[in-house]
Amino acid sequence: MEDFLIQPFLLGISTGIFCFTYCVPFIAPYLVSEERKLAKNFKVILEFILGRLGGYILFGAIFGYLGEKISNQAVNLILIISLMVLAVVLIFYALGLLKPKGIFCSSKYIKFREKSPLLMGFLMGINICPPFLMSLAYVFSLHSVFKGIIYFLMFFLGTTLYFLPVTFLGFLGKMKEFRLIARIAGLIVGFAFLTYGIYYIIRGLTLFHAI
Amino acid sequence: MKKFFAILFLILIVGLAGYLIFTREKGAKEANNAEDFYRAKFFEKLSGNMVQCGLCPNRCILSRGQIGLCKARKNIDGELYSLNYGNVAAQHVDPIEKKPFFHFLPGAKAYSISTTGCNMRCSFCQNWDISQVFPWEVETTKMTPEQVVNDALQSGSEVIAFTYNEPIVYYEYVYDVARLAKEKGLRTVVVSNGYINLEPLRELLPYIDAYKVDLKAFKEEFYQKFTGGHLAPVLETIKTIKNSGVWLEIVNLLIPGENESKEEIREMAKWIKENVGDDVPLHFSAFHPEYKLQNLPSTPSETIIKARQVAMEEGLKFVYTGNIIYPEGESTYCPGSKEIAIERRGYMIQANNLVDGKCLDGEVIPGIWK
Repeated sequence: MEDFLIQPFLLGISTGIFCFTYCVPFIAPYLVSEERKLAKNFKVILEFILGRLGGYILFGAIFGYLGEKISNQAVNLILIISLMVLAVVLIFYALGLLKPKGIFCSSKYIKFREKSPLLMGFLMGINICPPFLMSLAYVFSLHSVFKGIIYFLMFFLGTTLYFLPVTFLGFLGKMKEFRLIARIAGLIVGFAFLTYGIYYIIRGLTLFHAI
Repeated sequence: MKKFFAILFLILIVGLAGYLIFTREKGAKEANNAEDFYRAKFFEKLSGNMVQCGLCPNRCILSRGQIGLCKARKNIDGELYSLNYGNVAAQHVDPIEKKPFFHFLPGAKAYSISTTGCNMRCSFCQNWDISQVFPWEVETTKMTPEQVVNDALQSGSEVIAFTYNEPIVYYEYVYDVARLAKEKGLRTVVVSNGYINLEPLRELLPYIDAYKVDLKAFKEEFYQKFTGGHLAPVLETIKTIKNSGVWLEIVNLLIPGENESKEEIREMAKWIKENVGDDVPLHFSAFHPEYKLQNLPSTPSETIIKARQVAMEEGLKFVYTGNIIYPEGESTYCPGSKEIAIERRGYMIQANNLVDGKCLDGEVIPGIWK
């Protein structure tokens, strides 16, 4: 029992800083590019975390069910595509295309913009970080959707502790210099990962391991 | 000032993104360059570039890029590679009695090496920091088989021991080192959980002089609950080693409340006597809280002493105690005359009364004595 409860939680605690590091280039520009109150920033982070949770649970269910049947190529394809979609979302956001009065000026796109932390969190949740990727061999051996979900959930809880303090990064958004720089950062980061994703697919999908 | 910090923020975020891309790509290249690893000996190619490892009963099926349960083998482009060949995580000269081998070259120095990984996940593992990790998580030293053998010779050791973590998971390295060691006149011993398929075992045995198997319990439930493995393959390994003529000794670690019942010990002793003989040394060792079982108490000395008595009641001639202070359980006795053949205190030989492996009355004590 402890193998899929305590172990992944402790793994999340011990490697959570790496997972957090992987999310920072995406969440930081988003947080800082708008002036928001602390409570709103906290809501953004919560939505991001919830989105991550959704991504983790989905992956846990898939890995737990498919086990070894899922090929590494498929895993890497999912990871890199989610990374590219995430990059595109960030680019759109940085360009202001997700504004209420942007080119997508209808109510459904306003809802999309408001929900973009959820979407970003979900895409980051799918893009599982290297320390966790290494424990997948064990998840494969569980051959259980339930155990796979629980394993991913416990890991997620362990890593989430590192995300809460980043709420305060939003204070930088009160300064217009930072808001502008954050959008520029979002653009650069978005294009960098989008380009990397294209290169990754062209040169062939292959698994990376933890640093 | 604000602009300065804002630009600093930009550099930080973009720099972090660039660093993440760089490390992902660097890691991918390093992890999948087959030239950096050693091709495994036992595996079968499957469709879709998948492979099935044939080294141990786990028989991991791996797709491209996947690493086996042992954390020591990887599918790179449809072929299986050993990740820890030549990567020595620990090396030390130990007394042979520490392994423990009590009927093999008493007092000999054993040049002991290990790498990383294991094909089990014992909750009570005392070497978990090298057995339950990937090769890149531990600092290792690259050593060729020639370097290992030369180092062993220079240390004055007569034996090379493959120990600490599970030698099976660095099979190819064990094989190459052992073959070379034999050419140079060194003896070789393996300290193992016995969880290996028969074909690789039979291929290795000609180069091994002694094999110690950890028989963790005599119940399948214990194996599944605490080790992730199964009992039956370990029993087959024990029989195969015995039949090959390689010297065999067995160790059983007794864990309070889990595998120390008299009934289980009796069953184990009976099986050993019937299947491999009453002269195979059996060591009962006391558990001390470790790794994931730090909530359990240490095994009382009385439990170990009692286990020895039970095993001897079942007819086993050479039963020893370990990890407790009990001089009677540490020494070897001549079964006929009950005289002390070899007196030990811990790992130290106090007196060796054997002459060419025989007691004073001529009784032969099984073992390898020179």
